[in-house]
Amino acid sequence: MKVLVTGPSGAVGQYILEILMTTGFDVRVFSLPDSMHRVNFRDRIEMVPGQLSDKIALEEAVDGVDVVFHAAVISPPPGRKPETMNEVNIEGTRNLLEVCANRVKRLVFASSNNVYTPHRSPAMWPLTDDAPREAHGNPQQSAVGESLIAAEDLIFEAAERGEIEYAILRPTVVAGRKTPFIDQMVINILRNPDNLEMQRRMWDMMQWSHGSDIGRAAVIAGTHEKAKNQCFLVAGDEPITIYDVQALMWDIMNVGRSDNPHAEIASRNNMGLRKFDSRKLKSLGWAPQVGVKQCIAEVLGRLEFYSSAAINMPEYMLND
Amino acid sequence: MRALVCDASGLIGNRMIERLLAFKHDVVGFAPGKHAKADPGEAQLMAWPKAAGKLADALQGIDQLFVPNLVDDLPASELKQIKALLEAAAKVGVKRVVVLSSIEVYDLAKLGGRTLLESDAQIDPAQASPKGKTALELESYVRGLPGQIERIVLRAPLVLSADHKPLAETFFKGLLKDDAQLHYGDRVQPIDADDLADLMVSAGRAPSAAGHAINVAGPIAILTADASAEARRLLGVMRDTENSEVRVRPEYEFASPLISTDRALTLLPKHAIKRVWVSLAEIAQEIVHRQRAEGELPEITYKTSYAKMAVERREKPLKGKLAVVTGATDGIGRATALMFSRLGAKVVAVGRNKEAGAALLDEMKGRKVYTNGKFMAADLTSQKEVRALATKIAKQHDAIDYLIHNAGAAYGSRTETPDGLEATFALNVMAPFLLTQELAAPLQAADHARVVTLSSEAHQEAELMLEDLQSTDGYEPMEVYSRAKLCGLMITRCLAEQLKDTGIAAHAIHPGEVRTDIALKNGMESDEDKNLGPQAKQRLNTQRDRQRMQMISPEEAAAYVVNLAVSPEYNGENGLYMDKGDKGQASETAQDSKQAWLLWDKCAEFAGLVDA
Repeated sequence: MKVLVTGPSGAVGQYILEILMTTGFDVRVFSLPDSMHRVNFRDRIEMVPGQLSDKIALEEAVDGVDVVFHAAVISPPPGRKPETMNEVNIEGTRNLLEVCANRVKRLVFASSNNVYTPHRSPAMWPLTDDAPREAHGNPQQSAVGESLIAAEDLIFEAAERGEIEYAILRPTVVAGRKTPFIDQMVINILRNPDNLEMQRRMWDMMQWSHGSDIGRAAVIAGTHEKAKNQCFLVAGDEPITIYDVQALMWDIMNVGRSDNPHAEIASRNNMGLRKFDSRKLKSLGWAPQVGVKQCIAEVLGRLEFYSSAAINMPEYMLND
Repeated sequence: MRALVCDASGLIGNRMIERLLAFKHDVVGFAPGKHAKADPGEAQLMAWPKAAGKLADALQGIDQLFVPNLVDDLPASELKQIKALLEAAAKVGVKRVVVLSSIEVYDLAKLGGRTLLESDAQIDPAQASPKGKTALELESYVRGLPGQIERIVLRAPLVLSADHKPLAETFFKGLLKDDAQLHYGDRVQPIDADDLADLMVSAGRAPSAAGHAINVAGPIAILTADASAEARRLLGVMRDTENSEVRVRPEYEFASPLISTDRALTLLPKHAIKRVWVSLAEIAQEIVHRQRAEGELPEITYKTSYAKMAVERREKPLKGKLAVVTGATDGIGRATALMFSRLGAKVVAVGRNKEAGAALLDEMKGRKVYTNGKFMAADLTSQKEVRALATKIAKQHDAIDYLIHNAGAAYGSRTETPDGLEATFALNVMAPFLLTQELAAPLQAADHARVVTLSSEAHQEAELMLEDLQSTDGYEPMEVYSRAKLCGLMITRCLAEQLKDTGIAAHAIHPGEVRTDIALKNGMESDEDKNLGPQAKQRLNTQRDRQRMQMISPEEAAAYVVNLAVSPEYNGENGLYMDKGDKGQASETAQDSKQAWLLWDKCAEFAGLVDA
């Protein structure tokens, strides 16, 4: 079987690519020309450079492909124009669908759990795969939600016209190698460990999903007969607040000690109930394998936290 | 390793089997009504063998025997079966047996405020609870087994698990009663079923645990009074779909442990980790979910607006209705037209730009979710064109269900229309005024038509200045725009009063801060742009993009507009001023009826209508 990954260097795409390497599929990627050097496994895959607005490049990319993993979607950093985001997420998906129509068997789309209707109150938990959608949050989050909902709608319509099968993944906060959200959260905790309540309110209960778990979910979504025309919520098993992140960071940095000063506040803020329940994926045999602690350890390793100002250094090191 | 678990389908038994399989053990399980099957990677389940010989057969080659039956009290017949099994196990040469017992073997009444240790006095069987009696009998039988078999007894308190209804819910409901302390004593320290299964399995492996009776319990004890308070709080949280903010657990008093688990911590490699708070939350959730399923509590409703929900559910509630949207070629108007069309209404889109109009129709034709509409070109600053438009619409359509006055603009410098009116005023005030009047007949012909005028929070700062509606005395674009929005609001108010008994409703709405180009058109782009160097220009653009990223999209704004026009929740309402999705408060001037009618008269005069 031949598969195509769009956005192969992104937070989700790179993990889809990684998991696809463990299957026997022939893999092709569709990458922006200036991101090609960031794509892994370049010696084992075919690469088609191009962007989603370029239909000729897209034609070349989907030629002979059975399953497309569409992870080339963006969310806006504060400076980027929402119009640019819509151009990529909506028009890009539209173009991709047009070239895939009646040629590609299935499209797996990496959407986001941001598309679901607001569900902060524990009375509404757990949210399941087919809960109604409504873009929400601050204007930025809302803009991402709207563009992803519009892209999903285009996919639903293409499937209704019989042009393609789909499977849509809606992952929660993505952990892994390219995760500005979690990096920033960890940095904030290091810098300002005593003042997290505002962020606790903002992010509330989280259930991170690690990129490799999303990658495994994508392979199931792309190949399983029962995944045809389904939407999947992808969420890790551990409900956490930012206080849990802080407590786990302490555990990681203080291996062997048990007097965690953040444990109590973390416990008081965490009811221990899951906000998200990936029922459909679990029924297809998927289970998250990477825990929150490991996700945090990855970030800390990357940040080289031990040189951070938040750590008490021996004096002779400070004098350098 | 080969392990046998009796009560394989029970609360602890089935959890243990999962875990043993994960350790790659061969697992045999006794479960009522099950037949032997031996798929690789699965447990071999069988019914309890009846004949004594069969029992020995089943025990052949077994290294560990687990007896997790005593979660609740056992019937005498089951106890007898277990005894026979234990006897056979000792004979056949099973290496180790792990038995679940209960802390009810202790005389808990004598405990007072102390912490229970393994060395504490056991209760006189005559005074023991039924479960305590069974536990004592089982333990003494295990002690008396002949031979070298390694025996381990785990004495557990109440076992909690959300999926085990009778025990967990009885406990929870007991907590809700006022006399909870009478039932449970001053402290509780239950153990979670998952944790207990972990401990049982680990007791099968721990080398130094052999020969011990070990107390196990959850990681913390809490005061029964606090458990009661927490149970009540949790039920409240689970039922309250509105409050999403404060759900931090209050700081309860510290309680010294009811059961010491020191021995378990030393001898067993696994420890109980799930705090009783989480168990309580899970049970509360289970209870509320069941009450919802059984109709005792109302189902969850989402706060999504009627119009948005209809789009999400792909319903067409507006089938056969007609919506007229002005300024429909761009921004909020375009998004409004598309949303109406998506909800099944036929849309008459009005605008100046014919190319953009054609593009809008193409978009509607291109996707099946849309209902086809039509485009009519008109420059609404000209009264002649407004009248022509109204005639054209009225000729083609008998009834208009929704009339959306969306077209609006600000002008960088004072511009006069062919009618001699200032353009901002002409477009934002006169056009809606005149178009509504001219379309009175088709609006009345519809069943409860609604007229929605786009206003703006900018009106709050505006002064009316009836004497200079044409802004001849000094022209400040945004000031004039704000005043025009105020006038539009007042006209809507008059309209609402006028239409009170006709079934037609007139509303105004502030759609929010929206990412449109209103501030960059019609000479509104500032002059400073032109004289900036490239870097400064870049900086300005970045700043502008940041600001735009804080605004809502035209689509979201349109959803508020359409919802006001179509939602049944506004049936019978008239003259509303909405701030996005909520009822808003218009400025004092806007609520001044007398001034409003003076303005109305002026408009009638400008339009050449006598006493409209």
